[in-house]
Amino acid sequence: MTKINVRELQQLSPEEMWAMEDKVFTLVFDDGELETSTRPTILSHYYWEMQRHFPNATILKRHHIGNGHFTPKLHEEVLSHVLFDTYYALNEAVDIMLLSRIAYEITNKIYNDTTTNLAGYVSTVSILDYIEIHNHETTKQVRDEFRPNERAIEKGYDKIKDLLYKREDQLAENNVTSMCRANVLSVGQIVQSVAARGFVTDIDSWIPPRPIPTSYTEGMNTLHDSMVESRSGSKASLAQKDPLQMTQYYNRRMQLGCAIIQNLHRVDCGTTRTVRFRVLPQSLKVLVGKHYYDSKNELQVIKGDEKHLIGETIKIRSPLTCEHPDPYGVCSKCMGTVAASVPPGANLGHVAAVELCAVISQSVLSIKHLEVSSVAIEISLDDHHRQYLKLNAKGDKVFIREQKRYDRMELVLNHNDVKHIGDINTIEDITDLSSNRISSCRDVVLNGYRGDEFEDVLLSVSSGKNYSSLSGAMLNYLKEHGWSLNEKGFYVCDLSHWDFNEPAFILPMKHLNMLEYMDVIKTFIESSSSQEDKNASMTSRSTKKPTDDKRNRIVNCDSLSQALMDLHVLVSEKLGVNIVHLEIIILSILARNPDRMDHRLPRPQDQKVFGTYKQNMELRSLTGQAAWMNQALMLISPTSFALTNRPKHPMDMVFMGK
Amino acid sequence: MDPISPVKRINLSQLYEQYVNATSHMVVCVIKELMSKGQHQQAWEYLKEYYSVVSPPMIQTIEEVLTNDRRIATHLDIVAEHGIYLYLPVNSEHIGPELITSLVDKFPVDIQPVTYSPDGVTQVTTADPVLIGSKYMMLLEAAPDNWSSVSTAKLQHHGLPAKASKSDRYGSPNRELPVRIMGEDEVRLFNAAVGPELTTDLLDGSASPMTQKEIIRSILNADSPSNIEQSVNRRKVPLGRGRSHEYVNHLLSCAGVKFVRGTYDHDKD
Repeated sequence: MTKINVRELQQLSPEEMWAMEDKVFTLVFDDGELETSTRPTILSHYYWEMQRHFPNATILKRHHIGNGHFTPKLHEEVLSHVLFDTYYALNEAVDIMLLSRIAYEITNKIYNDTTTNLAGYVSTVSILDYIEIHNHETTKQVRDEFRPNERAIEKGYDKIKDLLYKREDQLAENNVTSMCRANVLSVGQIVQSVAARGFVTDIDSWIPPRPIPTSYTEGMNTLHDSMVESRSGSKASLAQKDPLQMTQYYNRRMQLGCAIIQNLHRVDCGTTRTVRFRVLPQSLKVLVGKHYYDSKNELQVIKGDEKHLIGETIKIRSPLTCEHPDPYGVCSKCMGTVAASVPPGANLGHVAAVELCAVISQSVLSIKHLEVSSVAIEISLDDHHRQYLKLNAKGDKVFIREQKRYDRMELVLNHNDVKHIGDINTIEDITDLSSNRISSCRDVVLNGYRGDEFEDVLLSVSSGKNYSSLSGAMLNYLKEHGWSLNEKGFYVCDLSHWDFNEPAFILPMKHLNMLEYMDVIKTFIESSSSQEDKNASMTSRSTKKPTDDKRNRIVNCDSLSQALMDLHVLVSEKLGVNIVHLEIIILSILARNPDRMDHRLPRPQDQKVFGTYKQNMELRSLTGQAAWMNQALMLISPTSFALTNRPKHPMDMVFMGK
Repeated sequence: MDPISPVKRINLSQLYEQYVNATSHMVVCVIKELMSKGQHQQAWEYLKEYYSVVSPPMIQTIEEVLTNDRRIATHLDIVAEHGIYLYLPVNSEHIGPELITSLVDKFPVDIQPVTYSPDGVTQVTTADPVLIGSKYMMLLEAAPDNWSSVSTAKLQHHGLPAKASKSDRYGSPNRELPVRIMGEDEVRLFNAAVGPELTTDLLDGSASPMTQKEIIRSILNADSPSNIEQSVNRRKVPLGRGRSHEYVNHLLSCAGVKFVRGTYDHDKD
């Protein structure tokens, strides 16, 4: 086979490349050889524009698009490799903005030349393509095996995905599968279009029990299906108003709060301090670019494929331990290689806040585009809860465990959770009642008596904002045996006659929406009081509480490592945000001594204490708070005048001029 | 047909419309040909067969209305001249994969590669066959056909840019007032991307009548008005004198409050 040196091709003009004969050859790169053909090499030639500007930079195998489909994602990947490989090959001495400009021009040139030279390959789609998929054996099988439950629908979706994306021998001439394999269609949308619409979520996150069995190709032919499907549109309309405003408001809070971390210094502060980080399976992809100390105590960069690190606790260089003398800045070594992608002069805290919040805003904005068949939230129990509660196999029914060590047990319900409980005494047959209209329980307390001893335990019977309702058996029990009130006005029910084999609580079929998820993250970062906490507390000092409370706040964390780990676990449930942005967000929260109203960022030798968001805003430069909220309170608060040693904020000049 | 938008917008029904319209067009061509040969009865049978496959409600209506030869002949003439206007309600149960399968079996459309001109000069033939069928479309009134260049902002009595009145909006072919580019979010984004100095300078250009006059004077006196090195002398017109600031500062000073720059000491214990 012909061998060609990539440098020879690199020197050719685009016209000469397009005129090349279509053949297979071996291309010799600086790091090895690649067997390929003319067509992908013509496209790859555009990326080597970077090396035409900088002839000393290497041309690597990964600067070729390979022999598969040319997808938007692949374009971004190759462009990113070319840009950053050139940057590092030139020892970071070249202006990253110049490289970015060349990358932009490469994209533009590819777009212009492909639209002109490949005009004959313009593709289209017609209903015949969808009918072909609809009539395919696999799709027929999925339709025949359709069962109205989440698992069966997921299984059907997997078969369709396999057919459309992986089985190259099937539907080879079909334009829809070609687009799927070129990765230009959303997987979630295509499975709904050809398999089944599945479960839909209503605006209050409730999932109707019957899924839509037909696909968009077949259409929805029953009133039920049309009405259930209309919920997607309702959600999209709703998301345009209040939810979007809420996410925007959250963005504002985060951006103003984090903006105190202003500068990136492209140097190495030389610190020997590190943050200990336990690598979870989902951590590797968000640790990319971080510097860590390996077993030989040498500094290495995480590339994302170090599977041997999973389960290990590693020591990472972190902005949280950076010792750069600038009180508002961090060094690029502590930040990691991500620093190269931060434009000069950009505010680091703002970048971090945007990286986290933009994904949430976008998810709310494109709610109907992202939604596949809905999957209900399942509650999970930690060690504390497993002592007192158990779940059924599906995870949607909660049983109380009988505690043999107690003589008598009582269930305490918050009066705010069971506002309409009195209704069960007014009707004879409570099976007609909708239990989730009568009760919506977040936490309950179990009282245990043994002789003179008394113990009470706080138990969560909710998952996020997905509150459980009292089961039919429990409602019947309450109707039959009644309840009493304790000194706080909560309902107390004696469980002496309760059948512990019956479920006490039912978790409704609800979908976790992004707003609720955002609220959990916000509560953690800002250490704020959520609305639920403002309700009457069911606990006293002696109440046993779960140690691993999901509604934890960063102020409750014992160390920087724990705070970073907790935030990472929380964020990685749904989002993929690089760890460095979370570190910078945490850094912006740190204060020296909140007890003495000292919310300056800590120096390396200072103790690092987590401040609450509200106090940070009030006790740092007031222009930040003036741009945020509570301006009137700010003007009459004595601390606004008494405290003068306040860190600067980028809003200072906007408020006061130069 | 844009291959991506039907899935992106979950609007696969437009593909049914396109295919049915393409088939209708093909049927009209066949009818014209039969009529040109004088085979009117065959043309009518062919059309009736098509109606019965594509739209049961249509054939039912046709059979009720076209009860004599004169009416049938008129209908055929209309179809030959203007094409087929189908009665096919969107909630018809038979719209679906089976309808298309029947049409493909009984009235197959010949789908061929298309020759078109991407740049208006050269002719290109597509490698793949392309179905061409008409589609009913409503154009949105969002064509960017008005001028973007604007005059300087009119000021209201507080010295801030005034809201456009009806006469401002409709009295001139071009836009009389500049658009608002610095909302609350934009101020934060500018601040983070290009720094507070430029952000403040831009805000000052809108909110300070003195700065506005300076900018206009610079433009009018410049040799090359689109390339001015410095439009405002900040020694003469300092930053932070925008009317919005002045009003807030004035009100605050009446209450004995003033924003001052603190003396931050990072190293103080």
